[in-house]
Amino acid sequence: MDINLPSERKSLIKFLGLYIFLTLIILALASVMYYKFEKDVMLYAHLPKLQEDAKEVIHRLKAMHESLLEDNFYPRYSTFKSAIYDADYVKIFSLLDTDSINFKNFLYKQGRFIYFIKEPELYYLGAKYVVIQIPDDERWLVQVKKNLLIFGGLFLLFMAILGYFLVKQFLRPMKDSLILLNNFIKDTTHELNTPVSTILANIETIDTQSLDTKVAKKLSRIDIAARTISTIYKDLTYLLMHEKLPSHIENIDMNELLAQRIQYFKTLADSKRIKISFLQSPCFLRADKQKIARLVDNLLSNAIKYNKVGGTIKIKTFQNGFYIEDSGIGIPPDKQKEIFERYKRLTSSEGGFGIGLHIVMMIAKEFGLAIKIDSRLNQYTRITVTWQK
Amino acid sequence: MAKIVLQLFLALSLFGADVFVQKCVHCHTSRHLPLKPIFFDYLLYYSSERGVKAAMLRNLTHPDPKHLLIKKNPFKHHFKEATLKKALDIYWDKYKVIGKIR
Repeated sequence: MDINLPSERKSLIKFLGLYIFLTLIILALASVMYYKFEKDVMLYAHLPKLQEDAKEVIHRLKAMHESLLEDNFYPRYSTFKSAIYDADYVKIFSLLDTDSINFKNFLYKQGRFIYFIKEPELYYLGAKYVVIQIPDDERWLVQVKKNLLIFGGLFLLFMAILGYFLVKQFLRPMKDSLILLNNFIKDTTHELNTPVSTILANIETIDTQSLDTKVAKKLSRIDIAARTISTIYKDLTYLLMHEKLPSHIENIDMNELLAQRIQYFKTLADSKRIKISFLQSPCFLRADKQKIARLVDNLLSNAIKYNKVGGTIKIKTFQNGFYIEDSGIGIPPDKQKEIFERYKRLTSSEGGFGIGLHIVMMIAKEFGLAIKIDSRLNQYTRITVTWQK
Repeated sequence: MAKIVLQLFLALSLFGADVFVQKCVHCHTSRHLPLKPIFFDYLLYYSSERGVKAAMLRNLTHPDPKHLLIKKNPFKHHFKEATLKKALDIYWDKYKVIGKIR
């Protein structure tokens, strides 16, 4: 149960990402509501004083009006500033720091000031709106920001922890199924290895020259089948265990390795009367030999599998690379990028799981190898593997 | 040329001023109805230039006791509307409070 599947990790990250995103949206909405609430509380706390201020200004305006503006000195106060506007929002007189007044709200905050708009019962000096402005020290805002930071942070942390445990619970059945499947494949492949190796080892010890042709042919088929199972076993083992397989880097003589693998697939190639030609030039690669053997095996296996009966396979090594070219069905240009994807198969007429080229790509990535495909439909496919010096 | 334009402008300005003085001031003075308190009364109820002028025009041309600020002795002014408007403009400019508060 301690296995952390990559898919599980991915799902966990995706779910947590979405969860945190939604939590942040909720948090943002709650923060806005809290900010507005606190702002309203602050504004209404100032309201009685503002009303008193407005009353004083109106009282003075009344006196000015009754004197028919013979007394034209507008009242000034140290604690607040004021202005008067007519019914068409035209400024009559103003001591305010701004001319931009929001007449839709009777009490609001703008910048670092609080504004209150009072409509007198009678429009002394034509003033329908008396605007009072007081400064806002914004101490409440500092407190709001502090609370949002502390409580918002705590809420986010709590939700993240909760989300982590929730997603673990949701993913448990899927994880259990995947572990069961993984274990099943591992056990099956492990159990397959011993009998397949035994079959192959015993076939090699039989002297086919001394056998009857029919028996020798049947034995050859058994050999091919056993080698195919062995290749599948190795591929599956690589797929399941590649993260836990350490790489033993060594200087590989690619001519020697390719020759070995050609020999290994000889029986399979002979069964389709495929001729393999191998042109050698000095070619060395620093990598893990077992993994490069898997890469070569998969390329060779495909070259045989998708070749026509009586076809050819050309293998050539050169400095910093090699290619394997078959005379098979070819790969359409639109499919050339897809074939490296896991479980992607060019045709369903041939056997296999569609994991071969995926393994090739994984190994190539690990050792920084470049893979190039040249292909023409029903003529040939050449896969070139190159590397830096 | 500039002299002629200036003279015309002054003539027109004086003519405009005459409309208000001749048609309004003389009559109101003789009836002991000073214009300034009336103006401030309108300001008290109609606030803006647009509101005051519209209310004055309505009450002067079609006096209705329901709308009049001075209910007794409603008096219909028999002026052309254009003349009345011109007189009201001068009246507004003369007594408006904008620019007179300090």
